[in-house]
Amino acid sequence: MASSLTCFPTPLPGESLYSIFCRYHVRSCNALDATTIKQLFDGCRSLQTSILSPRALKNARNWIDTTPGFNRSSLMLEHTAYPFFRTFIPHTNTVFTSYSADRFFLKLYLNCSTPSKRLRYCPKCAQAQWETFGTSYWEILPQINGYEICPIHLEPIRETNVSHQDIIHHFFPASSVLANSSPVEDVSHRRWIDSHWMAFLQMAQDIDYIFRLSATDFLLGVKIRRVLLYNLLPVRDRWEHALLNDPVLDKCADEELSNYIASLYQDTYKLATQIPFAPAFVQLRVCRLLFGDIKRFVSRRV
Amino acid sequence: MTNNSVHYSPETIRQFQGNPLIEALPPRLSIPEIIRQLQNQSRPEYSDEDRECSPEDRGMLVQTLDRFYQPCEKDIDIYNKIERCIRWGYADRNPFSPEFIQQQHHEYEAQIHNEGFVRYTQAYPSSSGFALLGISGLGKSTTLRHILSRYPQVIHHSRYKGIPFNETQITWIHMDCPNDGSLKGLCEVFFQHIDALLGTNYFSQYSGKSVTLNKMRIAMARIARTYHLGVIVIDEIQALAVAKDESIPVKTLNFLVTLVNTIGVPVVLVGTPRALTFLQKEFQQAKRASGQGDALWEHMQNDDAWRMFVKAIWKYQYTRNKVDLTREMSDALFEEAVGVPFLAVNIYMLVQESAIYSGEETFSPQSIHKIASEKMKLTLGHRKALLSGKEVNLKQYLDLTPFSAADFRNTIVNSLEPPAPVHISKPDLRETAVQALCSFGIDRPSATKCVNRALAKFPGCTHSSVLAREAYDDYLRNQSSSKPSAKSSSSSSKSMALTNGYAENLSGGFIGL
Repeated sequence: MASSLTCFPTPLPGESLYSIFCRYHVRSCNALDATTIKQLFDGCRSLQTSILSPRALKNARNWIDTTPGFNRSSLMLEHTAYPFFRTFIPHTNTVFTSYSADRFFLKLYLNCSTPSKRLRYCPKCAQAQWETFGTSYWEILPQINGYEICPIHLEPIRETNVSHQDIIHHFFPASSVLANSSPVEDVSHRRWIDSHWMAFLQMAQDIDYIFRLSATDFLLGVKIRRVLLYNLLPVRDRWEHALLNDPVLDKCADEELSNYIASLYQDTYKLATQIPFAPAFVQLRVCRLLFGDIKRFVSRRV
Repeated sequence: MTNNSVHYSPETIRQFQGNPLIEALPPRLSIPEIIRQLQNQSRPEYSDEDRECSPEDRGMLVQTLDRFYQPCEKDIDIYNKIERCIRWGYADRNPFSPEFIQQQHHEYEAQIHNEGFVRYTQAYPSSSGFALLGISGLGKSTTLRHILSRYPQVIHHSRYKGIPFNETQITWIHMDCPNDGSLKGLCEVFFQHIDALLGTNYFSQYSGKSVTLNKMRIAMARIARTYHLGVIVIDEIQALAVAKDESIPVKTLNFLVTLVNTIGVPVVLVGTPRALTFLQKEFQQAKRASGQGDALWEHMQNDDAWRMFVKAIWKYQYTRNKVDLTREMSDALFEEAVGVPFLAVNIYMLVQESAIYSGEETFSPQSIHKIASEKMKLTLGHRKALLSGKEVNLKQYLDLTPFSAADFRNTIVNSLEPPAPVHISKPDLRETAVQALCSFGIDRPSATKCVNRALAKFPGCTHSSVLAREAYDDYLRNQSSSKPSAKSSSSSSKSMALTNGYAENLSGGFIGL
């Protein structure tokens, strides 16, 4: 097997790592998904990745350092959701600057975000990608919970019928999926988005902003700007109030959120840092409610 | 040959500008530069001091001639054709173009849904190939090898004008048509070549009983697109003529045409005149085979070009005593080699070997005749056939069948307008066919009868060569059904003996003519 992958695609703007792997599979001309997985992950049988996690890079030893044009760091920062989620952590920098913090990321992924169960996309972005690059691809941001509206096209994010479970063992290139299936339309979800259009639009803009800011910070070596829990604890009461009275967040009061709210009453800092994180979108929403503008909040709290 | 650091040369032609696949190619050369480059890479070393070596060493050194290659006017023509094929082929396959990448997805779709990829056809009007046909030994393959070796076969791109550009480009593939002429075999040979170049494992992925032919075809097309294949050269294309199933050549050639039409990869077909039997039948093939103008090579004539060639090889002389090149020597060599450079080199080597090992250390025109008749018996029939063109079984030496370039072109012209009136008048056609039969030793009245019968059988026939072949078949059928005379009996038994010998030698791989 070649040490470098002869036709690994050039990553596209905002493209998820999984999508890059899908495009590699298309270009590789391999007969089976398993053959491509083997080439990418040194003999592994699954993709070792979720749509957002940089975990897969850990096993991609065989080719990643010899294929020209990119490196682990650029793939992790520009093509996974790591830059976004790293701002939502109450720990020190050092632990989380590596893609290999699997367990952490898994926890972060499960707790900071309540991910949608299927791959998502903005139809207008997909169309624009097809016309500009000749291929559509899975972007990172639409996969993050809370990113319900495309801030560029002001278009609700659509869900496909490809589940996150499916992508562990198979490649579903966006161009193929979108050409062969109609989007899954959840009417009640759509109504909910429509009724809180501005709130969701702001949240999508905030997710976009945090993602880019964190990636830039990482490259510049700037200390992580923590958005959430740690900084919000001093205003806990105001937060709780905002949380319980916001119609957007009220809808999301699932078990995880209830646990979090309960934990707010544990009046010790130590315990507060050990409990599960509040979902990222909840934290962003609270920031908006309390401070009006996420940009101002972030720059104030560095 | 692989190129690691890619140098992009700016293109002057507007259609080629901004295409990294073209700009990564070596710059185009002027005619003197081509000749110089071809000569430099094809002239083995020689020193007069070698004549002082022991007979054993000199016997070994004589084989140096095997590597000799003399570029000529025809080679420059081929070089220009290859240049045009590759560059224009790439012109419509700019990897930055969205359409190019969209096609990649369509082909992927076709493969996973096990569909034919033809429905995604995208026209590539400027890409085409050509056919290089000529009897064996004229140096067709050698010429192509020398010309192709000018291009780095694999180019690994990483950045182009500051933009990340991770692509692998295969500029050419030169492969032999499989012995059975099958499309499956052709695909397998292709996969093996790609694997050898890139270290991939396509052969193991796409061979075996479980893989359908359709899947192999799509895979081949996809690979050709992914790796930006510049040109596919398929040698020994006449192998299609011996396929058991008559539909095989048509299927294989149709696929190659599809490859040109859909992917835009030019295909160059190389073979002996035997390939004309199927190339002339179909318009598509004929059109594609002459996209850059057909290249139909015939054996050399005893003219200045031949003498120049002999002069070039004469330098590689290892006998102790220097033998001067005279007109008689050149003529003797021509007579025995019948204008085939490969045979001339072989005879010249054998003559020298004989002179060295016998201790004579010199040779004469008579030595050339003697050695040729004694040591090149296998090719004797072929050489005689070429020299005289008489009393030769057309089928027996189909690889040597002289062809008419005009006939080949007529196939194209006529096929362009299928139901159009026939351009060649029947009397002319009849006369040409009759003359062709006469040249094979058939008396004129018999030849006329045979041609008339053939014309009655195929009234729409417009090609003298096709008509002549049909008439000759008819002649043979009549000959075998009638009681043979003493003369014809001896002739046919001789012919049979030759036929058997030819078949054995062919199957044993001994015939290298």
